[in-house]
Amino acid sequence: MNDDPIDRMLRRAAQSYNAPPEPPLDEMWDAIERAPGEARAQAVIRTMRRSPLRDPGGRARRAQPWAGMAAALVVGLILGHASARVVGVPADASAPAQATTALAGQPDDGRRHPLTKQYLGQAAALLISLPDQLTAELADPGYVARADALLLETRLLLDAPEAAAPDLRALLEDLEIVLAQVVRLEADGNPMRFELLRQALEQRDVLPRVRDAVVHHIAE
Amino acid sequence: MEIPLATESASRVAEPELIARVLAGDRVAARELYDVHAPRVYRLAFRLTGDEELARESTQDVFVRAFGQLDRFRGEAALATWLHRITLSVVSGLMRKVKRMRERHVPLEERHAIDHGADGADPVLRDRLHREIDALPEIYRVTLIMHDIEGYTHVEIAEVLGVAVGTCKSRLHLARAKLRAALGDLTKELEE
Repeated sequence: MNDDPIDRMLRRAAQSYNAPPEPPLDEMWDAIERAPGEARAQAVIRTMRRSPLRDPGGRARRAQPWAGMAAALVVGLILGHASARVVGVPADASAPAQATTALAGQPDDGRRHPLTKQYLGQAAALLISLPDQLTAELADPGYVARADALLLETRLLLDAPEAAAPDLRALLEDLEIVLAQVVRLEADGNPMRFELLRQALEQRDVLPRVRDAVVHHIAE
Repeated sequence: MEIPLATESASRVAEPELIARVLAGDRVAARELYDVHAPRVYRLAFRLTGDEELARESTQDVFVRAFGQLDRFRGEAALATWLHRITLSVVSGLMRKVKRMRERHVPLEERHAIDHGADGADPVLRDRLHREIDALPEIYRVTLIMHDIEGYTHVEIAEVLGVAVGTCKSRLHLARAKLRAALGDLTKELEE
């Protein structure tokens, strides 16, 4: 929308699309410091254990007992979801974002973080239907959107310390390649891309390796 | 035009130091980091959600997560890029939940109750355009909002989304083409 007058007009009109007001910085900051709710508890407690943002009044100490129970419940539910997906239950398209930014830290006992397992479960579910997409030579927008979300998750995980583990890093990098190629399928609708992806998967044996690794990590 | 991610703030140079201070428990540093990045995170969240409460909720969630996991931030990407990735992920999860709730409980028209006009554009075109942007597939909508509305560069968007720059450009091209096609009748009238 740069040179064409119509494009310029559209671009000007688009500026009012969901035009944001001034951000309520102080109000949001207060909420961040309070960080209520089960989903936030784990992050806040982790932070407070390290001591940044520690509340001198002892909010962390007061929050820990109930938050610990909530965290255990959440982890249990996540593990259940991840296991269900691996055995073939269709993945919920909303799942990647829920796992998201947990950024998958390695627990102290060296086992895989449950949210990493959840991510891997979603990756497995997505890859299972990849051959169908290639056979159909039609990139389903929903499928591409899921691949896109997972690619975002993959990048986040690659930034996390857990990805320093060579096996997981290699797996994530393979997944990144595959997902990036899937995402490109929608970019120009070029049928040649399907063929190239198919050849790449076959020649490099990527799909079975990723599947095996995913199953291995989830079973870990 | 928005400030590029790469030069978001003068304090960017000192950002690693700021992060270290946050990790050492410095609340002032945490607030400073927040003040640098929160406005853009909020803007993007608002553009994507179109809702003050959702934008506020998303921004809070982004920073709670970011502070909780700051020790895991390795600095391979800029902090702003990392925060924007989290933002897109948080917003996308939130919007899916909200969409499901709205489909069950709220007529679609109510989403357009807030009019932030005053851009000098034809109101009919503007209204139609907003609806057509809403209707774009999310991967196109995000790219269009980030590039054409919020002024991110293709390189920045590609980094945040984890896709190639070419993919980003292609998505933008397709998004614009879809809008032009959808608004074909109106744009012809306005052209005359």
